[in-house]
Amino acid sequence: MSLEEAERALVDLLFDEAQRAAFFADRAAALAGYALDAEEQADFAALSQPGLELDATMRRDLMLARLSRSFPLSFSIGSALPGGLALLRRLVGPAYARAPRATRSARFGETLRAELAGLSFASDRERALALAFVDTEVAMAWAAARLREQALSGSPPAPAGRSAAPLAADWAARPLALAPHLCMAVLPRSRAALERELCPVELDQLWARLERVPLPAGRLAAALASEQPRLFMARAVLVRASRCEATVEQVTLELSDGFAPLLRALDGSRSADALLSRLAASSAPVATLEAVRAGLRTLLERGMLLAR
Amino acid sequence: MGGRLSELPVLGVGASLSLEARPDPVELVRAVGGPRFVEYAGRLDVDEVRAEVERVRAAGARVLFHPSYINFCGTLANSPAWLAETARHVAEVASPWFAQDLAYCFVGPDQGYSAELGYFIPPILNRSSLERAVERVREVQAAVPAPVAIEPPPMCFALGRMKLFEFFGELAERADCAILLDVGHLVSYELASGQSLREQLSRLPRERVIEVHIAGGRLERGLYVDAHERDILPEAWRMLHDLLPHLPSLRAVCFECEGKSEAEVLSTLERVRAAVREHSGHAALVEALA
Repeated sequence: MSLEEAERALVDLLFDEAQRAAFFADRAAALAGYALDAEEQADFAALSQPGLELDATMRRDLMLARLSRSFPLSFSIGSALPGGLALLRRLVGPAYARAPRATRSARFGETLRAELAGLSFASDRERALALAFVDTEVAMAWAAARLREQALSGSPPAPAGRSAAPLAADWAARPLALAPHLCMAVLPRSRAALERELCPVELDQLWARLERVPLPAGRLAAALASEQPRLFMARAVLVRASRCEATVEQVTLELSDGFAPLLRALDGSRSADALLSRLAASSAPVATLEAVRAGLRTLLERGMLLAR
Repeated sequence: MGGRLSELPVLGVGASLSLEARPDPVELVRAVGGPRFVEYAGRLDVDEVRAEVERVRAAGARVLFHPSYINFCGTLANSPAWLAETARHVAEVASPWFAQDLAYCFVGPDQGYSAELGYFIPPILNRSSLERAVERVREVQAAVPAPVAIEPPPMCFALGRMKLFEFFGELAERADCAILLDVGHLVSYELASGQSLREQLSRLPRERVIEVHIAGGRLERGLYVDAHERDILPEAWRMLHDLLPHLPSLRAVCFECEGKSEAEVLSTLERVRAAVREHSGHAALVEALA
């Protein structure tokens, strides 16, 4: 008996459309790569095609519905491209099912990004702009995965709320650093606004909607026609952790893209006061200084920055 | 186990609900004709559900924990840490027994929820799979401080040529565990396999069946699909009526009704109670409906 091999064959048939097609075209040939005994071969020989197909289709759609909540823009963008929906369906294959749990979604996103880059966009410009949003979703998934791994590693960080601790009175004098598990990107336009435009349903309904009505290519082109760069930040937050499980959520924030160089300059030694002094020395207007101060305060309050 | 099963409380007719969504389990428990117990498909960590479970218990209902992350079959063992947390969960909520579909919930290196694979992957119905299922059930029994019940999962296909009640019957006897029968899942097996379960009843250790589920479903391409938000199909009602007279040790009948309105739940619970009164031969269960 070789139950491990029978299980491997079953998972491949359930999650791999090409393997399923090969199996129903020539069962013996498709099973030749598995060390099945005669009884197991006879079991597979009797397997119903309509039943397996229905199971596999429902299973795939349920998995994609879950994943679309983490990669909404990637899914919408992908649906607008020739071959995009087929790509998404193919990616929830056996390797996805067998992947380590903590990083499974992030690995999916990484593969999706690589494959989307190879699809046909209306222009190189559209490809670059669209992939910037995909990159951000993949980076968020990896930040969540790393935090989840850390939480389950035996030395978990304490679960935190979505808000940071109240600011100290001298917050502006303290050295600033970027928070851990942070994603930061200058995007061609507001991610939140793009999501409202390209994902017009509740996220748990997104895959079902895209399957029925893929995003029109013209709508993607129109959404990316004009650029209004924004700094997008997302922080993965551990909201619950136990011995076996960790729940991670994302806190997001969008700011003027002018903050990007300021934040990139943070090395854990400069305070808000020091940054503002530097800006003042370069003749920045008072209104700009006030806006930067308010922005830094917001970043601290949302936990994107740490005041040491 | 035989002795332990006879000592299990008779819970009557109850409902399977999400603890954090409408309809509110506590409002339902307090309603006239509401459920006598509440079953929930919570996550592993009992801390996530403790407050809601306490509300339900304070309203006067028992709770049953019915998860979807245990591999009761297959070559991949359950994580000792997950089993330990399961034991803590079962003990803290005082679930009288611990039941779950016998299926694959994970196929990778880590334990996880069946929803991460879409839903349960049904077991392979053959001899070598049965041998491993005995190991898996014993592994859970050794960790969990309550009798274990195994449930045939929903099936669009049947892989393996053992008959369903032959597989579950022998498994329950050898592992000395209880059985939960979901009548919709049984309909799904009949449609997927072309087999009649009435003809397999002699293979089922009927005294081990302690719980029955009934829920909404739909027919697609001639197969049965679990769909708790839908109405209960006539085929499922028929299966319930046919089975009830043959289950002498039944402790609980559960209407799985996540996504239904309170009015729908209450009217269906009344219909389930009527079916139990009319068809069950188990006096203690019928008395528990009063």
